Amino acid sequence: MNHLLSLMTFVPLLGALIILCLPKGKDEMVKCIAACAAGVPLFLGFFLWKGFARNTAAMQFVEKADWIPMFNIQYSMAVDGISVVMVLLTALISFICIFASWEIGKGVKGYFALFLLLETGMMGVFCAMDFFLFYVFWEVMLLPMYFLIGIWGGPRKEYAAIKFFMYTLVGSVLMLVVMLVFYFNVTDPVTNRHTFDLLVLRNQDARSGSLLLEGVRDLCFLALFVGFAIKVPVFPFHTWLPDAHVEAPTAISVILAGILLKMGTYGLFRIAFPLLPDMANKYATFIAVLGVINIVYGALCAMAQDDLKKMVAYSSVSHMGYCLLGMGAMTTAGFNGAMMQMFAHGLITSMLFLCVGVIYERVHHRWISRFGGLATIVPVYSGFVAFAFFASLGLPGLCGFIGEAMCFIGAWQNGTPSFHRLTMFATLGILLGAAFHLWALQRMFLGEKNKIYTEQYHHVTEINGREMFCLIPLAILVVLSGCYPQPVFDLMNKSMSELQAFIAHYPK
Amino acid sequence: MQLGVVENLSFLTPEILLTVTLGAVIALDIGGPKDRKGLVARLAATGLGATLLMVILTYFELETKQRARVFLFADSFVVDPFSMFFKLVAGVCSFMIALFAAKVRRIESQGEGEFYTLLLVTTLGIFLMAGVTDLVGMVVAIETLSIPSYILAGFYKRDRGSSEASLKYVLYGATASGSMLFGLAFLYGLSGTTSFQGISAAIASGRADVLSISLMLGLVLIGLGFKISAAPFHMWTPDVYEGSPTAVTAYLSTASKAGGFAILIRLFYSILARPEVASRPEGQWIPIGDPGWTTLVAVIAVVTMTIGNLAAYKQTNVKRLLAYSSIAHAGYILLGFVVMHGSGLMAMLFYIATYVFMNLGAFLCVIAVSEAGGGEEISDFRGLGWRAPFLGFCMAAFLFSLTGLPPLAGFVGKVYLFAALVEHGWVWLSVVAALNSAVSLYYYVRVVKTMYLEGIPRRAGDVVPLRIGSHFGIMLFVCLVPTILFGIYWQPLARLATWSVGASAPVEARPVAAHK
Repeated sequence: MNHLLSLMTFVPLLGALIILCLPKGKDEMVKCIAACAAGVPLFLGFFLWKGFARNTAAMQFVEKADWIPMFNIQYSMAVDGISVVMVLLTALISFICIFASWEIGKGVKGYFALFLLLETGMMGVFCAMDFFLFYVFWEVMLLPMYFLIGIWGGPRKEYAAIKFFMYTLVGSVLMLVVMLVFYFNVTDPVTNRHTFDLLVLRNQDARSGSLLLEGVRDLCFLALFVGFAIKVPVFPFHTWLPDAHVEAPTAISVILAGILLKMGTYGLFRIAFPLLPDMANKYATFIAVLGVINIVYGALCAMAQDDLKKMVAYSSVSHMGYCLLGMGAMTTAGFNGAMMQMFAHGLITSMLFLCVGVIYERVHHRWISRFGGLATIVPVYSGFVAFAFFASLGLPGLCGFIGEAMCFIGAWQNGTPSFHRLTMFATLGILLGAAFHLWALQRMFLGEKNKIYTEQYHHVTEINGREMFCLIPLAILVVLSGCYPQPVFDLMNKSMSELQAFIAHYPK
Repeated sequence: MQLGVVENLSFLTPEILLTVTLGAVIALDIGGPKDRKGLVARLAATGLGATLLMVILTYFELETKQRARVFLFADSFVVDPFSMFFKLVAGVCSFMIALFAAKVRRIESQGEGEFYTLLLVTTLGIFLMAGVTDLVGMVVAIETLSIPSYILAGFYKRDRGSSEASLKYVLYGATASGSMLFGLAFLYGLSGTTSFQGISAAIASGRADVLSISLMLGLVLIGLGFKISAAPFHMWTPDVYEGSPTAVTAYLSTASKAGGFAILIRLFYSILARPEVASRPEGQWIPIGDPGWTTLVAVIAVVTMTIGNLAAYKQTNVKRLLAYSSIAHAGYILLGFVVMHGSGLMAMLFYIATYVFMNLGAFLCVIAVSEAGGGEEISDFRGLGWRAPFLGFCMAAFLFSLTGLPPLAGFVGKVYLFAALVEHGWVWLSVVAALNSAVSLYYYVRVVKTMYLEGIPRRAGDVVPLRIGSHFGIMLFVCLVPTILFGIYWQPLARLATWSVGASAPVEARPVAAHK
């Protein structure tokens, strides 16, 4: 299986092309092809899981070929512990989202073709080991996302779509300039050429020119950080997120929250930290502080929302804050925790958005205050929501808890008084998280039926088989990795400790 | 390299062929059969196609014979890969325009004979611009391009917009030409020669003062800045682009602009700079005397792209929007000019080549829509992505390519430009340009939004299809292929551009007798 990663990346693209070639009106066939095209990466993901060596931090499943020799750009794909979790998560969630989009009404062909293109972009970002290739995939993702939000979204879709697009593009053009600065100031000691190879770029001895100046490195790190922070999103760059998440159709919200947000933190792990380890150390506290702001501010915002989807969106802001706190700690436990939190949040938030989609499809609104006593009408659905909420608020035994706890442990292990204070303050987030989740649960599902809006209950039917098919695998994984997270840690641990050691080697 | 007359002329086959076509078109128009619908168009297109073929053959000949350059007509005209590159670009543009215009009903009814005659003359003008190395030849070449362009802009005789465009173009053009001529006269007076190399030699030997030469070149820059629509000489662009027949607009924004860049590079790099190593023009260039003109051009580039991008925001007419976008792109291309290195020149050539396809494509979409009964306002593009899926897809691809998003050719062009800047210490400039290109997304996407996000059919049966016809469909496809292909695999184009710069050294410090 030498071309495993390429297959996982480009089979969806192939599916998209096939779908585009189909004649009009074959909607069922389009959906089947989409399901197959998204199923192949999941199937291959099984081999990736089996074949991935847990005892090394080295790159695996490496594919390398010259792309543009004149510019020394390579088609270089590989995974290590940092990316393998994300690749598997992407394969799983994309596959589930195909089924979550089954009832999409208009433009079926276009929708699924764009969706598969998006999957190619996401896979590519996580597999690319050449900075240029990474950048191309990173940008390729924007186009389908724009259309998916803009065409199939809610009432304010146009505004949300362009806001998402502009924000991300501004961040990524800065990344482009930094990429070029690195290219021209790093010489591959083996080939004696400039290179985009991420593994060579992190070699601090291969540098020359302006990269040796501390001020330049500062600027580079900040530019990269802003580029990735917009994606995470880190306060104060988070304002695109509530709009995009709320307006996007259900499956796209799932992709946005479940995978796209992780690209920001993944980018920090893969590019910003290893390329500029000394700057990572220098700005560690800054990152952790932003993380804590994210945690508390996101939770407070979530509590203030009456729109269920917006509440879930802000809860993402809060949960990604834990990742930042863990990353800022610069300890192995913190890194592992951040990665675990990325994985856990990917599963949990997908469940949450799917649940929101279920109720929205039935009553066409999401105002928490208009519901009440749903548990008596749709008990099974209420059970799923309650499960997702408990996972999200960090109930022990479910994977959200593991991620959050590891982040806290990692941050505490950092040992400096400022980190102790930050960690203590961040625990407030757990409290607030529990508060807004339980409060929403109580208002929507428990108590009396809402007298004013009783007519809406006539439309509420129980969750159907397709929707359960989407939710159950996620729920199983949430429980499994919550009770026994070791297999997930096994995947990432080597790479994470290697990265931590690498960064620690270059004090600020 | 001294060659015999016949051998000399063999390097001019493209120009000769173009002139022959020109004659044939005129003859056919005057003496041909009355019922000759489309015959002139076919003749012109065939002639241009053959010319294009000859350009490619000459290109190959230069490469196979390892000839860096061939000087003709007492060193006033040069055939080198650099000029061939621009001839290729201009040839492709003219060929495409000739094919577009063949199906534009209004051009047909206004007299296609005149249209194609003028088109061929302008093409000849650009071919000459690409190769001249002499002040007098330069004026002749530029006017050969300009005067027919003025007429082409006003080709729709009873159309107020078209007439206004023509008048504006003439007035601005005359002013720009005037100041350029003024500058050229002084250049001759200061250096005693009209040859680019002679002027350079005069500066090198101290016979001419570099500061006065630079000031006069500044005047020349007005004329050339007008041609490429760089700020602050861009004011004519929106009005002329909006009023002219769209086929002409497409031509002005691509071929004519490429010609302007060709002569701009040749003039400045011949007179005010020399390669660090004379045989390696693809390497570093040393400014002669350095009166700071690179900084001046950097400022012009920044102002140009910023004005273009900001002014495009409020436009409601697609042609006007594309006009501002083409101003912005002139700014991007100028970036390659300031780095004083072969890589910057290569990036310019690469960008021009990719820009031509995406811009032609975008204008072609506008033509196709208005020929199918739509209009030129952005609101006329409402729901087009659903009514004409292929056209919508193409237009979106061209616009995103103009924005500079991968995997499209415009992205690669921008990367090369930014790379040249970063490599030679102009990081601030690349940051400004990068932010500019991010900002430009907003107005390009506005058209895409109108096409796809508005007028979405509720049911499959609601769509009112807009049929653009197979002719325009094929032409769109021809523009689409390079736009995507060069975004995925651009090594051949990059090689071609590098090679064209590499052998373009306009100066070989060889003694040139002053004409005094």
